[in-house]
Amino acid sequence: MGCSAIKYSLARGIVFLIAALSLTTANAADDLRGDLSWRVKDPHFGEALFDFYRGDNFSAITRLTVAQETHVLVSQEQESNLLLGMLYLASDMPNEAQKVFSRLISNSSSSPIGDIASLYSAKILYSQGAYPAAEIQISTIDDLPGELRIKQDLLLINLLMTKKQFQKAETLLRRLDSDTKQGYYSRHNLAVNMLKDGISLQGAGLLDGISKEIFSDAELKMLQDKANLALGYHYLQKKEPALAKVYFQKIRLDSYFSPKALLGSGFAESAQNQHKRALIPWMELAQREIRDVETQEALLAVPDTLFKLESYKEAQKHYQNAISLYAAEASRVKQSIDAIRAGKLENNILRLDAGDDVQWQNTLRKLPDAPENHYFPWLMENPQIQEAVLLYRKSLALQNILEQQRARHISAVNARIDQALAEAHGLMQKLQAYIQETTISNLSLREQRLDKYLTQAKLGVAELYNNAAARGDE
Amino acid sequence: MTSIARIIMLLFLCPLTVAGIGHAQEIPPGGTAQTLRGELLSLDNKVQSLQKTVADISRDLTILEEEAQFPERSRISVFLGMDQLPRFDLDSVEVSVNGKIVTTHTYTPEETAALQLGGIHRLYIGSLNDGDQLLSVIFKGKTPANPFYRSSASLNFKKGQKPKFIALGISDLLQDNTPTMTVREAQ
Repeated sequence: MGCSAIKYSLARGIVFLIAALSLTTANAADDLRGDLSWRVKDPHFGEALFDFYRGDNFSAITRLTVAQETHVLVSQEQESNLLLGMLYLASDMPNEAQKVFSRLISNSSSSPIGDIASLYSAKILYSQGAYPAAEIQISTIDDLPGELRIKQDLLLINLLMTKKQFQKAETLLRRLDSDTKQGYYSRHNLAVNMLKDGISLQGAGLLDGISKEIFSDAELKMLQDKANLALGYHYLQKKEPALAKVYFQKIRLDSYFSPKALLGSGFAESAQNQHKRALIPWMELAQREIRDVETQEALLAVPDTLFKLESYKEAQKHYQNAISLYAAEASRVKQSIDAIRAGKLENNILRLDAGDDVQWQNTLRKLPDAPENHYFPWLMENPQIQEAVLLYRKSLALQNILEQQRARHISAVNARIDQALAEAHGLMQKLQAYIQETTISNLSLREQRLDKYLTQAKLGVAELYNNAAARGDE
Repeated sequence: MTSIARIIMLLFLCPLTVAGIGHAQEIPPGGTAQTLRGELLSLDNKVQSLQKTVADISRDLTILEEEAQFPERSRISVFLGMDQLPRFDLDSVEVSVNGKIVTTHTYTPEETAALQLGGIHRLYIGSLNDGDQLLSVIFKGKTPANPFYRSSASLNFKKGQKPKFIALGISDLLQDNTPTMTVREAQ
């Protein structure tokens, strides 16, 4: 096999390092709570702020809209609209947030509130891929409070990157105090974009800067691992394996990126014809989690390399081991597909009554292994599946709120509640169908990949026999 | 296909996202990936729309319930605010009207932090007859010198035919770690 699998993994490694970046982004909600310090003049406004600060955005929206509807907000109308837009944004409702910000921009352009609304509006446009509109919106801003000015510059840097104006982006980034978490992420994003666009020297230089930092923060340590991984695969691609190896070896062994680093280390050794040394990371990797594609890859890379080293008996032992592990794994994938097709993912995972998303994910970790949840963490690495699952959970939470609202027995809203419940039910059905389709499709690809590895391992055994015959061995 | 060509192809298949770069994923053949993304976007818009509906219902239910339970002319609301007092750990507040306890609230660390940041907690909403009233408040917490710190305040006020708002404020005016409470009628 060797060649094609290694090419595949190399490509996958490069794609992965690009992909890993998106983990760095704060979600659409961003961390809005620290953006502004509010001066409270109206208790109703302060009440919504209390809920916002303690993390209950739904109650905050209710309090604020009640106050607006009953006209009790006497002194902070504009601020309350700004807060409402931020609350919608923090609740993953960018469409509603954008409506509020647009109204604020029309009513209070050239004012501090209009400027803040313009920034949030531009951020939403950017997140929706409407880059020119985001750029126009951000250009209308006169001035912003300190913390938001940094966010404005970071958004500008992202917009410059979409236009491939990397030099300008780098100049702007250097002007910022980029020794903040967000600053490091921006540096990392810029560097990878530069590498992607062939601006190797500068891109690698920026990543090397991150690689050399000493971080104590866990998130930044992870970013550093990502930077090292990106550099490792970059130098592999540039046919500089000795340099690649240096960066792969900097990645912590217990890191999320360790499997990719071990795989890359083996590639780097192999590219220098150090086949024996390539076996060290690959043998370590081959004993790890079989559900990781890197482990599956290493299971084949080890006997392929042993074959090259003419350790035929050892190669045969490892090919046989790989064959039995691939077959067992393919069988588990089939069982998972069957369980998901039978609706067990929805019943046992998606509908699990375990509180909010964080509590739900903690509960999932403690569930006994079953076909429907065996690959769930790996499936959740696919952004579309992840988003659909979170939308399903959100719809379920909305359904629960609606049930509680109906239990309050206010006849004036019953018809609206029933209609909304029907909508929630319909949405959950559609999302369930979407999740089922995409998870099965994803698992089918996993099954195909295992079949391919299985075939390659069998071919490896056949090649061993041919080789033995050619050498006149028994 | 050469490995370099494969790498370039895969790089360009990763769309830019909020972070500037998209996730890697196993890409189904043909236009399926785009269809799936479009479908997800449509579902996301529908969930957002449902969120708005539920929020609107919540707003209307709250208004209807408050109007039914606490008619405007007899309504009283008590709000609590607090200065930034990093050395004071608020534990609980008890409110009495005319000698009768109407509410006791024990604060979580998240709630205390929300108060310190400028949030205002509505401690109580109720109904009162017209006339002279006495509102008394006891609050408890921890100061550096006293783990069982306790203080109180009260206010005599007249309830008329309009909703009444009472504002409670905890501050350390003397800056000697002995927080005190002010009670006043608000607009």
